[in-house]
Amino acid sequence: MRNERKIRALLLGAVIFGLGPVAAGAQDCVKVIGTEPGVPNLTMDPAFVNLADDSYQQNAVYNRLVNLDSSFQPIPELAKSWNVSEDGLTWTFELEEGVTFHDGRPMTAKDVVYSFRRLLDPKVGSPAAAVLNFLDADGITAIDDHTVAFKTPTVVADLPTVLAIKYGLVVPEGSTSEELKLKAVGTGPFVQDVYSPTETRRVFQRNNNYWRKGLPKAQCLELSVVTEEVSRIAAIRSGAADLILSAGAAAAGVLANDPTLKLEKSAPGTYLTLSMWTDTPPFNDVRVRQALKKVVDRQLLVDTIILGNGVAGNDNPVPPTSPLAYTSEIKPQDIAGAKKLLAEAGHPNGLTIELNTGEGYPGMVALAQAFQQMAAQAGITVNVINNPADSYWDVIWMKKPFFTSNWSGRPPAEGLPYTFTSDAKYNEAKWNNPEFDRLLKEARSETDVEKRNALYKEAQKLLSDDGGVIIPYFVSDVAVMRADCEGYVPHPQVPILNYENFVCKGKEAAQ
Amino acid sequence: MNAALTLILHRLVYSLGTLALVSVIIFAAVEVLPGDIPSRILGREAPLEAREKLRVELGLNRPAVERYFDWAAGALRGDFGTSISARRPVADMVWARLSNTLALAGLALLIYIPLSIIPALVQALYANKLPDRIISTLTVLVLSTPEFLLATLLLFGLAVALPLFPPLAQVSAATGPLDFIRIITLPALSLAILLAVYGTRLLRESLIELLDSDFIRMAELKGLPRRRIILRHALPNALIPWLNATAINFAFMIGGVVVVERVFIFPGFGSLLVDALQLRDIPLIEASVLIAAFIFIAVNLLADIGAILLNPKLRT
Repeated sequence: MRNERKIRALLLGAVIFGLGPVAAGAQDCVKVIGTEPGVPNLTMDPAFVNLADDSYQQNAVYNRLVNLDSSFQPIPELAKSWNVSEDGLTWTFELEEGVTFHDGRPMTAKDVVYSFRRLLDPKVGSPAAAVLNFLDADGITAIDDHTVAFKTPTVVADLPTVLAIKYGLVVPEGSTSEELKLKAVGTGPFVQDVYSPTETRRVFQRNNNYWRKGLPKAQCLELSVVTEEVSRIAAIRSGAADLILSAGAAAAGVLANDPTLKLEKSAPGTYLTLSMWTDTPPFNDVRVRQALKKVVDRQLLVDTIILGNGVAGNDNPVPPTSPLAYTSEIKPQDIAGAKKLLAEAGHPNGLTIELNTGEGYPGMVALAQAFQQMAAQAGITVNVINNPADSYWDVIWMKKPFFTSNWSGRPPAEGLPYTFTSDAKYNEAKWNNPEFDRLLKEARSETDVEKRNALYKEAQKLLSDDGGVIIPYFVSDVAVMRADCEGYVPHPQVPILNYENFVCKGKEAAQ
Repeated sequence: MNAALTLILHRLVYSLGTLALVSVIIFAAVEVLPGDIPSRILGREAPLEAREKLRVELGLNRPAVERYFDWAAGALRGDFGTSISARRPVADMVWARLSNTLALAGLALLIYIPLSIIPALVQALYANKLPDRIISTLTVLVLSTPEFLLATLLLFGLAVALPLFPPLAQVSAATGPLDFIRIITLPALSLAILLAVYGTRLLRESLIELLDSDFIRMAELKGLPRRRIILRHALPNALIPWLNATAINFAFMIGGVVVVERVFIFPGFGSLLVDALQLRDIPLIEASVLIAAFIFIAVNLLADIGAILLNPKLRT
């Protein structure tokens, strides 16, 4: 009898070992895979979000004060409502009540004040300080337990939008960078369970006290990063993964016809650039810049490089499909016009320029090569230099007169000043246009929405005509999930992710 | 046996010298690589002040020679310092990954031994007949397949088309031993196949060469059965070069299987080294390369000892 049982157990073991599914510990999590690895220096500290991998995990455990919808409009999160004073200098945010951190502490205005002051503190050294440089740390105060005031030295008309940056996650008062790097204490939908900065597999358990009742829908969430596209495809096809956060264009094409999978596209967000220094010949002549813009066949680039997963761009950071764009028309390719402009600029026999690129971001090399072909039609010889990807951002980027780059989609209020004003930290084109600077300054302090958007549109047009950055297209992120899963929509801004509603059959919350 | 002992001691001293030299070369090589460590760790949007702060914190503002001797002194005490990207003791990081890779290499070796010996024996028994030709064609085919493609084909064959194994070899400290073996079977199989073809070809050549030799003719004239001749007389001699090749292959598995690790996202030693290199994490690179070199040397030493023991002239 006992022997028989042993034999049966052995047989069962053999069957499980050979054919059964791998038991993933005690419960079955929704399995999410990302593409951009942060190992071995992942961080759970919002002040130091660096690569997308940090955002994949931090969005599971923290909340923002304010979030953005897919058209970059601010939406409530921990702040349920906000208003601004007559003079536009003081914003007041009303907080949700009954929100607790994962360690049981109630979340109050003090924590919000601490979180944002910490980002501005030079001793902390967060990259956020540069983005939020119009804030005054002393002006961030707790009015009462559930009201926070931001008093700014000058009017910041889009303050709620800007507070939604990737660093703007709320942490408990007094928590330090050293603590947070390894142990996230947030108010978010999931609680950190298995985590190490050097391992890609992370497990998060459902936060049963989450302030949004009935959410999250999944019992637990397992996250890893798979850098090889073939491995991602194999994982989702075999059911080892439930969701690919952002599949490459090629993979999306392959997986679109698979009946066991579903695809979800984001609004266009991330864009690639070809940036030239406007203070360096030949790019210091606006006619040369315009000629280089005229040789680009934008729609062709969308169709070939990203296989249609995106929209053509107009050399400014607002996608033409957005209601905030200055025009919905796409600049056409105009070889004759380009030649004419070059001749006027004193290059009747063409021009030879050097373009530095590298696969520091997927698609940059392909873009440079396509640009080379298009420019050749107008008699422009582009020597493409393909640099090593691993040192691209600290050796090449912004250090050569003509280079490729990429940026995450941002609302106009944040995106226009971020890389284009004369004093912008990442002014890739070294562009100095007093008129553009003035328009943005005016827009920033214009409290009337209509007028503000009109100013932004004027600034976009100026940038598009005169600037030194070619923005040929915007990419849509494609998420792929198994057919029996639902509730995940990719966001055009890479660092914004929402796992609250994501769930698969058989992996629902136990409650 | 004394001769063997002297040889081993000789090799040991020589190996330690090699390791010291390797450590200097690695340190110098990383020094001259382009790229700025703080901006790599903090990202392209980090403020200048934060980068400078980190530079001082990591001691990168000190001269390279001084930093090398600091590191080397620590290493001699068994302290490999702290990883500059992860801010954790290098030893912990390396050990976790190395044990994974050793387990993978161990299983791969178990598959590799029969996978390389049996086909070679069949080929030697049926030299220039159909079975020999079929196996030869197969080995050439695998030899000319890039690692990445072979791993990918196995992935789609045995994890997607026939879902026998998990496609992602994600092991962690919490994985049970049975699951662990199941999870790493696919990458181990890829490795074993990749390396077995070299072993098979080598072994076939030496077997056929030996079967042509005088002492085997003698055995044949004595009337010993062919199978017995091959297994008893030819194989042990033919295994000597095979053992050396196997040792080099095994050492290669420890550090050079990044491609296989990437396809199956196996948290192994090779990927750690690649990550460390990308981040210019000198303490981590140094420790990883030294360990890889140490294993390489140790495995070769073991192979030499094995060869001595197999060599009939040295058998006492």
